[in-house]
Amino acid sequence: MQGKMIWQKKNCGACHQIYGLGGFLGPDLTNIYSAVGKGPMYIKAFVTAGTPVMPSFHLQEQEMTELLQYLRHVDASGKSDPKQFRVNYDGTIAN
Amino acid sequence: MEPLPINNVRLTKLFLLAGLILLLTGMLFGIIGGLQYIMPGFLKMYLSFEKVRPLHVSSVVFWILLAAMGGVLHYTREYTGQNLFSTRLLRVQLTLFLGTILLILISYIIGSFGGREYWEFPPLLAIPILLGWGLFVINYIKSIKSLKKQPVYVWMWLTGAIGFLFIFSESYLWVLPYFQKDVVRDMTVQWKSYGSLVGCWNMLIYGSGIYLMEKISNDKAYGHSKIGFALYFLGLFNLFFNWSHHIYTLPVSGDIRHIGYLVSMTELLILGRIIYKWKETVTQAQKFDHLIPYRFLWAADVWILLNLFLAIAMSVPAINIYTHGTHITVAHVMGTTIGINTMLLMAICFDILGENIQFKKRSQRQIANGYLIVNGSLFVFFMALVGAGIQRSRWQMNQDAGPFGEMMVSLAPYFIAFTLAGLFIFVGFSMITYPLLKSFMHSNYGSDNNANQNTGSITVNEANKLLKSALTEPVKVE
Repeated sequence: MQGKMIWQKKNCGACHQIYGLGGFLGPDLTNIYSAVGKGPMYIKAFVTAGTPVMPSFHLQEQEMTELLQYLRHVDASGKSDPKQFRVNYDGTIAN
Repeated sequence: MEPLPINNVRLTKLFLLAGLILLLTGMLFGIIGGLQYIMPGFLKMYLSFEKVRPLHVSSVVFWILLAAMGGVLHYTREYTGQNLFSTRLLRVQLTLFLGTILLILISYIIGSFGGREYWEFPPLLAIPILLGWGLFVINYIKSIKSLKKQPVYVWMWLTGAIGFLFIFSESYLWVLPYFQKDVVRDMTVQWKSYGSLVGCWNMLIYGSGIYLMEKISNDKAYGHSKIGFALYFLGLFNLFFNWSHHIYTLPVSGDIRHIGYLVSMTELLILGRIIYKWKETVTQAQKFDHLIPYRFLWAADVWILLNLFLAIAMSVPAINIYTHGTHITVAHVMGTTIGINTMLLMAICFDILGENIQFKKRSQRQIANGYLIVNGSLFVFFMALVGAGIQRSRWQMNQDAGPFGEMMVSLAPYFIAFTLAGLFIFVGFSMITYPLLKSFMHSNYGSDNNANQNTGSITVNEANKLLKSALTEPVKVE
């Protein structure tokens, strides 16, 4: 829950999405934790260094750990990739 | 009889005035946000995107809320022919809202966030908003007094006002650990509440739109008609149950998706009715085209049609998985908040703030040109977002998609188009609102011209006379 508060206090949702909900400037981070070639170290590098668009957030070690825990919890809750949905003839979907 | 204090009228007008200022402010932040899309790093040191976005969103949301409340309160006074229940409540309500909005904007600038979509301010600031809204509800209910044989717009105002109070509270359930600890549960409740909140403010705005249409046409039949009430109940039904298209891709129960899908398809009835009545709407548009408020009502009608097509398509889950998380969603949001809500609220602003104002020929031309620029640019803005959304959707559904950054670079032409269009929307709205605000300020802050200026009050008879003349001669233009 502490990690979620860091996500909110830094207003990460202004640029990033969880399950396709949120901002449009950065990528969807629902499954960033388990994505091939990404994961905790990748997240840590981006949050610490920032990008030309994203500021560096100067998180303390404890805050960074909590944020990573939150992203791990989000990742474990399900998959957000729209390619994984099965479309039925009546317009409904299943995953 | 007790005289009506002019302050009561002035205060309702101040809601609209403050709203218009927030609209222009919000659009300026929107342009800065657009520039940050095409020039990465622009103002990053001072006003990075996570600050600019909430500054834009909150300013515009509060434009909608302030103008919607101002419209309802002003029309309630006009409809009942009596002063509102309490001028003091009205004053406290306005002070609470303006003070809190100022604190909210400051909190964004200094980087203090609550971090929730729409309400990105620290949660403590939700308390004065809730209190202010509560005062609005009390003032409205006490002013209406009885619900017997009331027209449909009185019911719409009532449901919108009370509904918002409960649903706004619901949107803060995340502060409780039960909701906070489970991301899917939290997001489901969050987006359920947001869908219904929009439904609530739509009830307020559409209700005022119906009232204004009756006032312009001098035809009171619709407000008491069966079809009016049938469409109201359909709207209410959708307000409660038509929200799950926001969360089709969340791992929720299939039942939620199916119910949302079924309920959203009832909007086809509204779409069918609009198409069926289109010829009548066009005839009416030709008849009242010389009235500024009517022109905005007509523009809203066109935008309703366009947005309804998109909304219904997005409510089909099989289509939604392509549009979800893309700029097509933004196109839908912009189409509804600017094309529908803002057009209706502009009609209301011109009717209320522009009463007793004779616009000079030059101002009339400026308003007409601004109107064309706004609607033309909004169409370009809307299509640019749809275009960006389609391209992003193709990227999302592509098995061999490249990196996110590469996709964003490929969207640059769309970003340039929507930023430029946004700039023109701002110019157009400035051209529209400037003569209105200027004339309004010169008219002694909108006090009724025929009112007794010495005592600062008018009698009920005088008010009724003014109301009658407003009904027969709404906003004269040369």
